[in-house]
Amino acid sequence: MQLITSISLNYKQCVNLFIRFGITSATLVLLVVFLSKISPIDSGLSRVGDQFSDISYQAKNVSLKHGFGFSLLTNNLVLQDIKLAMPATFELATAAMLFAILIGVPLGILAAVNKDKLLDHILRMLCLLGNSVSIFWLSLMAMLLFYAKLQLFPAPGRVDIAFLDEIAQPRFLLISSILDGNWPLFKDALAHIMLPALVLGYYSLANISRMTRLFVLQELQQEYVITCKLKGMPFNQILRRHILPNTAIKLITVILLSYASLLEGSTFVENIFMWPGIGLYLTQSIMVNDLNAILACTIVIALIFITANFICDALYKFLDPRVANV
Amino acid sequence: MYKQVLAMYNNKSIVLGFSLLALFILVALVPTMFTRQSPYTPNFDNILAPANGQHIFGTDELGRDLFARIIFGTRYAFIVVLSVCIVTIPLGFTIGAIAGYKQNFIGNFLSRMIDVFLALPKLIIAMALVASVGVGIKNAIFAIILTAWAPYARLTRANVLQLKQQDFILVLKLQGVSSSRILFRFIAPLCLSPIFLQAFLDMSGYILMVAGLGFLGLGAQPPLPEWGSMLANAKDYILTHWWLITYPGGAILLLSLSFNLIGEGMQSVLTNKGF
Amino acid sequence: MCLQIKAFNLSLGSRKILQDINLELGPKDKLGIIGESGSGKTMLAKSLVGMVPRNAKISAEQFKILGCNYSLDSDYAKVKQLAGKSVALILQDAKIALNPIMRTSEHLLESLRLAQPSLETKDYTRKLVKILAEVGLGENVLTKYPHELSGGMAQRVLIASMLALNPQILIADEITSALDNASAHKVLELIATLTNFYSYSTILISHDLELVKKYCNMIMVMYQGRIVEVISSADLENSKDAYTQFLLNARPNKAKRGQILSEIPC
Repeated sequence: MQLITSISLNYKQCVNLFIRFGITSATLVLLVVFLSKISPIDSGLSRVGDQFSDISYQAKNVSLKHGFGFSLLTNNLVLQDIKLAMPATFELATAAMLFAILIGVPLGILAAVNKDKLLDHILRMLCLLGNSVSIFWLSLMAMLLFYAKLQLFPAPGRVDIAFLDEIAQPRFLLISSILDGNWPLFKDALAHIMLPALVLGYYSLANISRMTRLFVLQELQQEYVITCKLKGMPFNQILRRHILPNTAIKLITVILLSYASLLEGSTFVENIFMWPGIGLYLTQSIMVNDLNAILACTIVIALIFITANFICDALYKFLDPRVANV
Repeated sequence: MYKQVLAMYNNKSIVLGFSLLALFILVALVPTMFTRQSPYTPNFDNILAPANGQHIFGTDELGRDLFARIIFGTRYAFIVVLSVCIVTIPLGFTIGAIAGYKQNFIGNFLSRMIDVFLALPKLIIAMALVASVGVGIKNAIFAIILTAWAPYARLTRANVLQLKQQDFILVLKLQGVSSSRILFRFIAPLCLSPIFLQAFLDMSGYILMVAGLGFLGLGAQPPLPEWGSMLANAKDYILTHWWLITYPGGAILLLSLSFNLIGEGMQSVLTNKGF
Repeated sequence: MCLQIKAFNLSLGSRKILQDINLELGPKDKLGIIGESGSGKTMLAKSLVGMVPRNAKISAEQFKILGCNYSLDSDYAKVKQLAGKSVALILQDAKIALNPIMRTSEHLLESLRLAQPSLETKDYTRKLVKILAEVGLGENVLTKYPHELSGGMAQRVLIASMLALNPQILIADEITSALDNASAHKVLELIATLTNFYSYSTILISHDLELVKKYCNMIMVMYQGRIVEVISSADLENSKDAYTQFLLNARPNKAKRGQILSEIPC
């Protein structure tokens, strides 16, 4: 059964959305440039003693043309560093999201169907904890418990030392190692990604399962469920063919927003698990006060976040046939 | 109104959250009632000691009593939450009210501003702000304020837009009441309830945010006993000295949990949609 | 006899919702149930398909549907299985009662599949066309969503999807309350025709006396959970019961123009 039933592109709404997207991105860039101008940090001075002293002027220049300037950490162009780091973050975020969806959605459905019973209460407590725990503390505790004490997972990092040169190029390790048939690499990458993905996914799990539960409960109160019962439909069929598609429409936007907010959480998770993604890059640049890298990462992450928000707005208008035709 | 307050007494969530919060408030107000140790004096003979009779939670890497640092750190958590709330709520409310009520250039501009700030990722922008402008707890508070006012503005704007259409507003306008008076004396009190609710839910977020900034070294600076920076210092020792991160993190968790409990309980009391 | 119910009682907590209800229906019978809101009409309809609230207490001397006797203490769960198989309950607001993201064709096919799970696609299509013709809808409604249909058309789609299940007893719960007068008459005309053609037993629940008088042969008046009287529609105007007379006099008509309508006492 089709979910995306009629994509009626309302011209005026489209233009409106694009304008808002443009204004937001422009404001973001303005903000970042403003910060770079008023900052008391002088990136040029930090490179005192560097033989490439004329590049110190470029170091203050936060423009895409110059590749966002040079990083203090790696002596590469910041843009290159970001290009290397993005696939790693993307991999981690996707793994976390898969975990959150595959566990969160069924849990939410079960909790809604068994409302006010034990399972429901357990889930609500899980969600409450998910909203209250600080993600870096959870990562530290997880590492302490599962790596140090129980020794279930390998050391922090994306791969073992033996495979370090595999990640010198930007690539999606899990996918490319399957495609190459390089099984030791795949197993190693998988083992390393599990714990950070679980921790990062926990936040999204709490959010997604709570929203799923809410949406399913809302659907269960609708008239058409009564009509189905009057038709003599078994409950499983009602759930599968009526409630879930209606819920899925609403869930897509939640999932997308959750994916974007994973970027914020991954800042801490990558720091603690030494995962070489953009979050680690950002936090390490903060430690050494590398303004170029900090602002460049901010622009990149914030742009992805804004884009996800606007895709959600657009999807929300187009997916529901009732709203789309208005 | 009275019925709602009564319903709150019966809601398990609120009661639990409130008692937890009350405990924390007590700790923040009279820390010396709970511990006699000083959170600032280092004692290099006794660094990284595990829990023992003299130090309930052990000592940190400079020999300071961990329990005392956690107790005194409660103050900073509350200072942050209160300062942020005192500024963001009126600020967000005012901007949202004007954006919703006026259709002229200012109103539209403010409306666009609200949309922009809603779409920005809070933590990342706050990090960028503090990292560029300078570290310290004051800057951290300022950064959180800048990124956190937008939800209140959105709520207020939606409510004002809806209330603007009502007939009683038309009557007031015909009587010649000025716009600002209509807005702040008549419309505003009707919008307060959802803002109140959102504030409690956001407060736990503020605590987590300032702890996160502290963890990266962007918040309170040493030797202030702020929980996030305590975790940052302890990061290198956790594999062997687990108590250094368990207890401060647990404190963050409990305080945040208390706000969340109150917020969730209020949600099911004040709105019928709280399942 | 399709339906034989004697002394049916339903109470929720301490409130008695239905008291001493007797019903007897045969094939091609059209019973109209008339009453104010809150007189228990809908609850009666729902209890015939086994959808009473969980903590309701029910009892009856006899509860016989389609030749099967049900003992309400132990067998009531079996009555629920009749829903969709032998008894069809049609709800009031068709636009809400249909799933908003499914097209008409999907609604009807779903009903057809529930009735006969293992047929070929072309059989389903044939039946679909037949059922559309029976309710008087053209094939252009097949691709439409519920919100794109008018009230009358949506009601017909709902009726069609219920009829596709091949019931023997039809219960229509205020199906015309959300329609304008012309559509209401057309829909009830349809129900009457189908009842005669397929030999259903139909119960029409409404609060509109004129409609019920025109399309039913027996009328049951209910008030606060009890049956006030059961009378044939031909004799309705000559009813001796005080409450029924009140209902009859409360109808606005041309003769009473300019006068204050009488009210029904509480």
